[in-house]
Amino acid sequence: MSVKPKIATVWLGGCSGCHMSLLDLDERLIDIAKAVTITASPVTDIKEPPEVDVVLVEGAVCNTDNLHVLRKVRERAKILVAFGDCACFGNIPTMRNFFPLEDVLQRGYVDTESTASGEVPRSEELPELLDKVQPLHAFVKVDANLPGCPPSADAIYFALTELLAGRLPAASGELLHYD
Amino acid sequence: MMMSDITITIDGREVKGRKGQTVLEVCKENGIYVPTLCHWPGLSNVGACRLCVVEVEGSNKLGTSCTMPATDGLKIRTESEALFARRKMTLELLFSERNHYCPICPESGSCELQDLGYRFGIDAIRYPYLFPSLPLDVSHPHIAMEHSRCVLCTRCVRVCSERVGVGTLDFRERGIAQMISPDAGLPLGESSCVSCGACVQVCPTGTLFNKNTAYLERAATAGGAHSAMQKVSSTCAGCSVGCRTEVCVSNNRVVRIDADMAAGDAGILCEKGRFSLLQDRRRRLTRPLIRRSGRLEETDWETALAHIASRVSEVVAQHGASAVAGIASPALPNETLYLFQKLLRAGVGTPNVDAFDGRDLRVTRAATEGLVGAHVRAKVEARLSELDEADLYVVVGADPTRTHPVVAAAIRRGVYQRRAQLILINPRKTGLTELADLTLQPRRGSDGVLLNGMMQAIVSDGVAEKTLVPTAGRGAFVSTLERYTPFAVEMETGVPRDDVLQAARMYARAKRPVILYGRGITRQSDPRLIASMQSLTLLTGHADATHFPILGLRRSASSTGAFDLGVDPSRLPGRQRFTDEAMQRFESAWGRPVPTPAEFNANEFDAKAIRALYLLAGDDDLPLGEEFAERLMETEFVVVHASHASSLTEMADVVLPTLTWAEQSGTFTNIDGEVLPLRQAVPGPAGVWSAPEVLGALGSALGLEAGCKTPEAITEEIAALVPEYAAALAEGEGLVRFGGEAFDVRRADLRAPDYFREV
Ligand code: SF4
Ligand code: SF4
Ligand code: SF4
Ligand code: SF4
Ligand code: FES
Repeated sequence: MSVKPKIATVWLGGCSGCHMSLLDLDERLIDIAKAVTITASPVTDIKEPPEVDVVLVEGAVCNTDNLHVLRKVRERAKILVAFGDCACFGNIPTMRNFFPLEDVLQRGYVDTESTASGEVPRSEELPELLDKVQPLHAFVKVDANLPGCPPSADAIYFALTELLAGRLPAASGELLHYD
Repeated sequence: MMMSDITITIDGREVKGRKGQTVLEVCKENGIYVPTLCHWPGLSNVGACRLCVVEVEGSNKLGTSCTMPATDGLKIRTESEALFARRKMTLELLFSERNHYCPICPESGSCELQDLGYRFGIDAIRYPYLFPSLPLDVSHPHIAMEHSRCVLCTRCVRVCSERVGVGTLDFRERGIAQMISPDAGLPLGESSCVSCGACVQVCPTGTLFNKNTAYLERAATAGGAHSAMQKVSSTCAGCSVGCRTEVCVSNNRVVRIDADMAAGDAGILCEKGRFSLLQDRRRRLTRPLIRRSGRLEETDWETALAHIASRVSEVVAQHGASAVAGIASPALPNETLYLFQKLLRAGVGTPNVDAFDGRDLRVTRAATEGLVGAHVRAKVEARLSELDEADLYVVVGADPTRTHPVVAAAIRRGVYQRRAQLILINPRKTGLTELADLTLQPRRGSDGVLLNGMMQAIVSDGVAEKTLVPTAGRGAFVSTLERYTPFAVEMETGVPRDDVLQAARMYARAKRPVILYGRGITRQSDPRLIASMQSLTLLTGHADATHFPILGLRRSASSTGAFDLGVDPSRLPGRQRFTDEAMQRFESAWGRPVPTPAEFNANEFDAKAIRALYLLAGDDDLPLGEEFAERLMETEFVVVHASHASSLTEMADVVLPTLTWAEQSGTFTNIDGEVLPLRQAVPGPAGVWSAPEVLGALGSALGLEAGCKTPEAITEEIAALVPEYAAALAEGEGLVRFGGEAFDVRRADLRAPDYFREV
């Protein structure tokens, strides 16, 4: 292959654990890096994602910014992979769905035990929370799901090598985990 | 009854089945996988989850195989693209309807819903989540109920009513908010739940879980394998029922005890077997202790054992071997129990060896031999399986809900499912009181009078038409009973005469009654009480030649094993009497003279005569009664061999640590005379010797020939000396049948023992 495929990763409403697990690939990362060009990732802080072959999206969709980024990367990526439980299923971030939004904000900014005098920030600049947190496929077409909280390094390696081989990854057996 | 064979075609393959089976059962028997979520072996099938659907030729509807009768000529398909899609959809809907957060669920790794998700390659849920807001109930001491994860399979509801016979659980609300509910809305901790945990075991999801061990199972699962739990098939050490267990181990720790479903019993356990054994809060002993100037101090094994050997030898030299005695817990493995009596008999030379509850079994033997007039080695009492066929239970001086809860479950099943009747004879209220058709509350110590009163009522009322009282004995028998008039019995027992008559009639008319007795009877240490029960079964024709439908609820996992293997001052291993032939056999096997039998009794030994006592408690929490404590105080030299510190060890001169049930292998012999395997699940603490090692070392110090060095050698020696055990020990399990003199209890010369004080 003369032109190396381009890969980007983005981080929405998640804990970054999936990205940490990506780093757990250790020396296998070098093989991957040889085979692909990583164009953007949470560490590069590129606001507007470039056109890529594959984007791995970590996290659920919690706010308007998540949604904006998700739609953008969907437009610019040939293949979008839901990366981890939150992206695939919603997972922990959806736990706020059991409460009214106002209560969630109040708890987070005002009632927190460590907060002396807090207030709910309100600004045009800030993204708004969506009514309900949802997984990626509730908003955009997802081409492949890689569950796991986080997906193991082996599962990620499997997914990447499948993608490099031109196949959509479908983890099974010990590589498919919900925890 | 022979079930007729049928042939059905599954996925193009012809397989045989039996009439009455479901399609799912035939599939399983033939190794054909069908996914299930609400089916559970031994429970009714309700077709709630619809995962087991199959295609039926000639019909365009899918049918649930768990409820579909297998009829001859049926042609079904268990796999197709459409079935796969349908089942996957069903699963995704289940995930979407409740709140499944596997990463924080204690059952992740042992969840059937999750396993099915993996099997069907589910990596996203296509249906919108409903996010129902459901409560978490942690009011129960052991069980948490997280309604958010319930798939409404109803397994818990069915097991609680069909197997445990309690019926605590049902459903409330409808649709999205439907929930299992204890006693129509009570918190589980305040409900009628008997804490057996059966519902926790059958729950396919993380809805019901043991809150005290939650997440321990997951400790070893980080990354890689879905579950790192090891499972060991074993036997509960909690009581004489001997429920088969599956001991689950994670990180060398027992994290869960389940009923072993492959064992073919009721598949349930009780609170003790499932939960309490996991929560031993006693202080563990790991080093031998020796009393020096009044205080127990740590020492090494060599010093402790040498000290015991020399003190015991001193006592033997000064006072004779019969000044030494050994008492063992019957909750220990058979192999240990055998070695214990061998050490005492052959190593020390004393006949004084008894199990903590040995007297209970001797009382029954004395009654039987008195009645039959012969030496009886065979088991003459009822088997547990008879409880599931009985139409009347008479529970005398026992509360199986506390002592033998799985027996209580069988009684409840009988009462609820077969409309069996229940008579309680107990001065106290028991856990069965509310279920009883009739409760008789005789004054303390008047049970015998009541039993004779029932027999008198039967004789005079003529209710026992098929009476088998032999003509020869009848005259004497009837005349002894004459004194037990309704008036006299009422006066003596305080039980209204009508109740006595009614109990007598119910018993005489029942088809398959079982009498159960417990501590309330055995505590009285009176063989006549057992004899009266036995006579009652004979009088009414409920006994057969070699068997009384009477079940003595024995205390411990191997009460029967101890009795069988010579932890009994009056019998040699194999329930053998001290005949010349038997003594010679044991002497040549043990290389030492065998002392003749003694009158020793664990509960009433003479502390003046016994100067050295070896108490092998193991992990048993032996109840230290006041009298027993006094006797221990008076005994010159006391060795306590126990896994945990207790008031017993406090009184010892030497304390030897030992292993617990989970840390050793061996066998138990349960109440049915069935040898059952105890298998090591976790390693013992470093430096703690096993009881056989300790008994072996003490034997050598006392001049016993080495031997019994390995578990295999112990088993071989028992098998050689007690051939009735050979097959069961070789197999690791099996029923033990003792032969012996032929007898027919129905020819017994019946006499009603007389309980009235002579006036
Ligand atoms: S019950 Fe099963 S599927 Fe549901 S959260 Fe727990 S492990 Fe996951
Ligand atoms: S623990 Fe036993 S009695 Fe209690 S609800 Fe569960 S099955 Fe029923
Ligand atoms: S609690 Fe468990 S066993 Fe009971 S209905 Fe729910 S999922 Fe089934
Ligand atoms: S009934 Fe006895 S053997 Fe069965 S689980 Fe309970 S304690 Fe163990
Ligand atoms: S297993 Fe047959 S419907 Fe659930």
